[in-house]
Amino acid sequence: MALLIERSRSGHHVSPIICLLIGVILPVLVLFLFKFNKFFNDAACQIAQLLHLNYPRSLLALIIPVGISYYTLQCISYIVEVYRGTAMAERHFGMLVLSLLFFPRIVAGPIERPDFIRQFHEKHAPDYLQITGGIKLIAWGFFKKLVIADRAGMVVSEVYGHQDHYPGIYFILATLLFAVQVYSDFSGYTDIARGSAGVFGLRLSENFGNPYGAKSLSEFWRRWHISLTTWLRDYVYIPAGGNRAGMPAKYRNILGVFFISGMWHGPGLTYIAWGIFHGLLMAIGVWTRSMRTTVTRLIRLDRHHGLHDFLKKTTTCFLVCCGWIFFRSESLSQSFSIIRRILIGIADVTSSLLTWDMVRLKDMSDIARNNTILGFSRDTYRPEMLILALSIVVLWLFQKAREKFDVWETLSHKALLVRWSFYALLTAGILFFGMFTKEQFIYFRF
Amino acid sequence: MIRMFRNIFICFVLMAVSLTVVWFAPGTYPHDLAAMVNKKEMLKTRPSPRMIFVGGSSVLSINGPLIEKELKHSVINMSLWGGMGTQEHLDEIRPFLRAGDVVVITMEYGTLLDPRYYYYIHTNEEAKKFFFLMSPERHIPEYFRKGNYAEMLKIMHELSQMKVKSYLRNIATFNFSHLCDKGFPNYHIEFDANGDRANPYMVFRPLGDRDTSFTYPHEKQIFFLNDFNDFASARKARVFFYFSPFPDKYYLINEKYINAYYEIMKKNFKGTLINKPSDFMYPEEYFADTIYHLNAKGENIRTPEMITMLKRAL
Repeated sequence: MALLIERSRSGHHVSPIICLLIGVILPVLVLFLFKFNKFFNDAACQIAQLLHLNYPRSLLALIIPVGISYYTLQCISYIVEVYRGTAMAERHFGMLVLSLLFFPRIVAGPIERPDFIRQFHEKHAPDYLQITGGIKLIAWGFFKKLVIADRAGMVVSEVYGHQDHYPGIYFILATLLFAVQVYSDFSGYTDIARGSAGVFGLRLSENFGNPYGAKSLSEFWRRWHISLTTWLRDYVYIPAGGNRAGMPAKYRNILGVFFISGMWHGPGLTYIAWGIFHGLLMAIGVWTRSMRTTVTRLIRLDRHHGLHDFLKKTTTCFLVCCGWIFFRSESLSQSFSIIRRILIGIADVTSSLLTWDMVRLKDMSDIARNNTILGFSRDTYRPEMLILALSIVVLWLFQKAREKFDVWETLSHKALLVRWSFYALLTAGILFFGMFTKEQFIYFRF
Repeated sequence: MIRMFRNIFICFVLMAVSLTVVWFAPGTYPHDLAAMVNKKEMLKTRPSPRMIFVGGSSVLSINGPLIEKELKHSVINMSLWGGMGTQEHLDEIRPFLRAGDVVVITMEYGTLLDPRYYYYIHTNEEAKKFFFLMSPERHIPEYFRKGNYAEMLKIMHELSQMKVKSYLRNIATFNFSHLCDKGFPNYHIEFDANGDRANPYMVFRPLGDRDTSFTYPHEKQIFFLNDFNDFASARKARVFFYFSPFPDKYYLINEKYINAYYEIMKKNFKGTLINKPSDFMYPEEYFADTIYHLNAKGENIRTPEMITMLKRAL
């Protein structure tokens, strides 16, 4: 299609817009077919059962191709950019396929733009700094995934999976840990992918920029899953009118983009609710911007930058975590049930503290289940939680440092002993504290 | 490029060295099954004549000191959990058998009559890990012989991880005096000098495992007992077998399967059967939390009865 678009410009009797439409609609349809196959198959099966018809459910159950959500978007951006004239159609089929299915990023991105193909045409001589830089990034990614994400995931799965057993207050902990899990898991994968590409001399784009340090929701989305957010901005939001078509259209576009973002994650209502939740918050954010600025000035909060920033960051984190409840829940009813439990839990703890009811507080801390505590055995619960807390602090310090300087670059200029001590600690951390389970990366399923 | 490969090699060497250091350093493993390491010490040190109990958690509540007093044998209770597998358990104690030893074996009904549990026992990775820990000198050559290097490294790595977590726990709780203990961290609190449970099982209702569905056993499932008996006889040790306690209500439900088990044992077992299943059928009130665990009241009946049976067999 991209070649046809180019040829159509040089006088061929093919309309470029038709080629563009085919090039966009076809991959979207394929994606839709695979992603929503289970949803429609289940629905059709239920209807068939009602009508006493024989429905071949297993025959129509399709296996979803690995990474389809990612390379579909990449295909679309390639076709669109060729249509816009900002990218050339690739003549070498092998190079095109290689760029779409490049192994480190095939299953969970980052979603690259057409200029990524150019890197495959360049000659890459083995480079010591590039290779070691890649290996360091891979190690850091594994630390995030194996030490932090999978350990946090144990607590999250335990609490979310046994709702009736835990007092509401534990859902706050589980949701906060899910925020840590999903970030460490996904950014860990991205680091591994970027590091692996780096070993081959290729550069993948950054997908995260300390998202939990964002001062607003819009800033959060500029720092979270950057390649998807910018893709949606460039190929959905702006073409739909963006900010230019008046306020109602702007709100519609924001909601539309986040609805698509939710849908992209899967056909489940929880993902759609998560998308709509963020869309609504963003729209409310735009609507109340001047109001909030006025209030901030009135109470003179803008004069206390530290406090103001802290409040903004905390509020953003809080709102993002509320969204994660929908994202993590198995169903919409479970999401609302968890929110209800959290509210009841907060009320319980507050009233117990106000009345100094220690017996009730002690009851809330009695959370052993089947000889386990928060998913860990009684004997390992304490060290596991300690490792989790320490590794989150390490991650936080690393993020803080990265905001100010390039940690890896700075480290490479330090004395041999300092460098190797850091590498030894990182390796020992993975070796002794990594959870070598069969836990998949969360974003593999999308 | 050479520099890079050298550095990668150094990294791997450092990882191997740190794993080796942790493996050989003294320390505990925060897992119930690590108690096998402590129990193995008894096999090495307790004086003869000895009576070695091997079975599942149903044996843990026996009154070892009373048996010692009545039968004049040092009691070594090697039992821990039925899910570890009796065959594997017996393999571990073989090297420590002495002339005059009496090995008293039981296999809880579920381990033989419940096909799912039977399958679970023989594919249980967790038990494999702790048998490895119990006698690495025996298992390492075995893994090498079979060429299962990756599995061996995986087990050693997982055990080292556990030990590091135990260090961390001790350091975080300022428990420095127990930093270099061996085996299970709470062994001296949870077990007595004979390896019995220090405290009786807590009572819970309804009883656990009561809905287990039994089926007929196969003769081949007990062949290993005869192998062990032959080995013990060659070392001038004796092997006794007894049918474990069971609530009478559930015995009646599963009577035909339990009796089939008894018939197979009677017909095939070369050692000494010291009881029949009905001897240890007790009312439900004698049981603690599952159909296999006796409470203090039940144990006060079972141990003296067992002593009488053992006296007869001795």
